Amino acid sequence: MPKIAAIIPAYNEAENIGGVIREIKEHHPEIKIVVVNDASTDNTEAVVMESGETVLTLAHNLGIGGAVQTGLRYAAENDYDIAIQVDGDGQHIPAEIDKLTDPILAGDADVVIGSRFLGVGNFKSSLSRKLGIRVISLVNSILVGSKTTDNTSGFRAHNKRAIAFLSEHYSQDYPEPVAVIELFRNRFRVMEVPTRMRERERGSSSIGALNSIYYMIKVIMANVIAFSRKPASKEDD
Amino acid sequence: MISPIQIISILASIFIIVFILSLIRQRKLREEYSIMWLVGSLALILFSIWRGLLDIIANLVGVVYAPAILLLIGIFFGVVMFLHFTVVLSKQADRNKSLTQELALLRNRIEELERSGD
Repeated sequence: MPKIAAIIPAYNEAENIGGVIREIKEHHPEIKIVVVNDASTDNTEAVVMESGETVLTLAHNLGIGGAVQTGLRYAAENDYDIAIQVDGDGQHIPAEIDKLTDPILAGDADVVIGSRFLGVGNFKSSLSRKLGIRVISLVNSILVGSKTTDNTSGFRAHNKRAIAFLSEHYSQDYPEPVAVIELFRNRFRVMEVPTRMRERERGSSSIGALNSIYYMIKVIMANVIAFSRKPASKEDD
Repeated sequence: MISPIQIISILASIFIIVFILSLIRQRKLREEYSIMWLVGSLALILFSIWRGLLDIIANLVGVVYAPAILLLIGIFFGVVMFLHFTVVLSKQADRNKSLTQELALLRNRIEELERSGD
């Protein structure tokens, strides 16, 4: 029986986090839930504590990258075979976790990303945001020489080797697309599977429509720089 | 012939060096960050004592108005300093992140140990 952990980064998600935890428990009672509370100012921590799940509370806000990396470090230290990343706002559908873990369990991939643009697309968002994600993914695909449709997706699963790597090397800013590049550069097998995505239940997304273009340019820059880096294993030599 | 302005700039440069050295002695400034400041103030002293140096450099690079060189060097020095600071700052932020994560992981481990101890 593989040890699987679900890492849930959460910043002020007191309203949503309870539902996310319940839904994961409902579909996958065997999965260990680890909420990383990124110095929330609401009672996210109390809600998770009440549910009896593990919560790692950061002393100050590190942003999504630092929060996810904390969960990956937890998974590495506690010897988990698979670490799934699930957003704390209820966007991702826990019933689809199997889609992410199956290719890893079969040994076909090291990292599996749930894509909103493959096959069963029901992803609704502003045109500018969709376009932004598309352009970022296109640049990414060109850089790594392999098609990725949705490299900003935060719904992904990592095997043990990828957990060990990412717990050491994880970007603070725009971690999702940069991680894809760094994984490719270090010869990890990254696979995309189609997943659905819900509208945000409450609260607002971290990226407003107006900032989409600015965000896009910054992410593309971060991607190109990540690509220009030497693979980590060579640096260590 | 030493002009008053020369005496003033030599004194000012010496004051800056003494001030930097005293900061290091009081451990308010770490040696690794003080090198740039010391090099900068030594350059100031050199230019104050040897007035002809500025003209020599200006002639060499083809600048008509010699004091402009001083301005250029000053700005360049400032930019290098700022860059140096942001590198130091980034390193600090990285360590800070790592410590924050470690703290959260350790706190969780303590809580779990306490729970299993009850």
